[in-house]
Amino acid sequence: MTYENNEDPIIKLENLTYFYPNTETPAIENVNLTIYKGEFIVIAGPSGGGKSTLCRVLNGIIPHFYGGELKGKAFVNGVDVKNSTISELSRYVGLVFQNPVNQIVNLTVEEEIAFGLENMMFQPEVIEERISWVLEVLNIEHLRNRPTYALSGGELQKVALASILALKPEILVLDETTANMDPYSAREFLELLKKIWNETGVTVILVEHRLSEALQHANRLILFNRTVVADGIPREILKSDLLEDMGIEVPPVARLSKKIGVDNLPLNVEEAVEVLKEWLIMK
Amino acid sequence: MANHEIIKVENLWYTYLNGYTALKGINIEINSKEFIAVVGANGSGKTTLIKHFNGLLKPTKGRVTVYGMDTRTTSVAELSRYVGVVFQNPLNQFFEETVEDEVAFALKNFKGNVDSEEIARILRELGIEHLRRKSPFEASLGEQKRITLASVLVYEPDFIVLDEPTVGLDYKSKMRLLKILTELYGRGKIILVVSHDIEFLAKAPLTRIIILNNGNLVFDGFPREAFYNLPLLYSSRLVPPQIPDLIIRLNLEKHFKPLNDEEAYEIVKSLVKEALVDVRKRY
Repeated sequence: MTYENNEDPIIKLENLTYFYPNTETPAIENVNLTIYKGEFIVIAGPSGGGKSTLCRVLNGIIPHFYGGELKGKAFVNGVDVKNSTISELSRYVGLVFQNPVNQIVNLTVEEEIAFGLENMMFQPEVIEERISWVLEVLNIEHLRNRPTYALSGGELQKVALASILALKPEILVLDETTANMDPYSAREFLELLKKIWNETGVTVILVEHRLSEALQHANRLILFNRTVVADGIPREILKSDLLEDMGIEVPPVARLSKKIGVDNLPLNVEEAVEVLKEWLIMK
Repeated sequence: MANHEIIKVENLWYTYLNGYTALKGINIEINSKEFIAVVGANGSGKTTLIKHFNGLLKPTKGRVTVYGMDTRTTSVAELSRYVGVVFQNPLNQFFEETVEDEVAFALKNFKGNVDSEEIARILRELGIEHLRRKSPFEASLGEQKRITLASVLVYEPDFIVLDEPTVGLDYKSKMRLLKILTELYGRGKIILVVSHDIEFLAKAPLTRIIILNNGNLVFDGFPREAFYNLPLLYSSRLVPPQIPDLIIRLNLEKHFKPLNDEEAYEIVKSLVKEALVDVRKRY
């Protein structure tokens, strides 16, 4: 899928550099990045490489909450991040963190989801409608009246996503959201995300360590280490040695295919089955 | 001590104060040096189980012995000489001002003297030498995990238990960790890793895998057997590593059972040399 031809950028970063307060080394440096509406982007990079910092710029908590020095330009949905506010940017950008406990503040799931909507002054009917919609999309209707403290980690993460999704942001940013989930829950969560992307056309930016699960869903992979190191189609980037060089995990089926000299690298096991059958026949 | 079990878990039941039963009659024996993985979905009882090894939790019913000592009647401090537990969240275990002091703490207690050369060596091995004089709270999550590991490795307990050691680590750090654990195992230590990171486990020289599901032990045996048993994995809410999944889908599991891409590549290489004709007929 290509988005570049007919769409306007929804995010545009130009020579973006950011210093946290009282630091001399920038956390991100000279970032140039354009993201188009409706893309599904995976961002990968080494720990401490500024991925979370990048996410925080997108909804304005950098610089408006963290302070520090932001140089260059950042536009989100046409709005200049520097001249905007967190509350305005939060309307366009929903940010889901790694640790759901950091963002869950209410007693029941229903209240938690209603919280953001109430803050944005939606009418009660709209709030009700949004809650029902989001519970259905995420397939967690059974959690509606459950206390948030009694939820499992995976459930909490879905509720955190639900409360963000209910606001219908243009852009959904997920910062290592699956890191604490077991693989089964992570797979389920990413499939759910794919479904939401399909149904709503929301722009997805997924910061993820587990490329084995995430890459197959993405139209674009960005390797990030304080700046954009590579930006392109996942399959093409996998062909290079960049991931290994940056210490990022390459899906084992892709690694195997690469070693045996397959050109068309598989992103998941299903693709690998096809690719390897073909390869075996050719041999 | 009549028998020579190092660790013996007999009909272990554990019920939390809120009435939730996390372990339901677990039996495990560890008799010699092994490299064991304990896997299971979130909430399956893994962390509850390992808290019994150093006496942090006492059985509601049943018995746990460590070198013949009943954990119910032995202090955590005494058990910790033999059982070093590295917990998932490093912040729960830090209390010293510098990384060096943090790492030296157990050493001081168990051995009486502190060999700062030894501390330096371990910090170097784990790639956190530069943090030596810094506060553990200043370190990144990945670094903090390595600090907790260092503080256990430094006093060399016989039985080293790690709870989700790869969470928050990038690929390079994971491979470094795997090398360290493999070396320790080679030197006669018992390593027990609780992990969701199935690809990490598929690369480890495991001697044994234990699968927990909803408080029950559902498998205790060879990794190759477990990773090629899809019904067992899926019913335990686990996902198979990619390479076994691939081999099964290619209907090749009767011929060979590689666990990771390196093993698979070796097989492919020998296949290319010898058995190509046979494989060609298959497709």
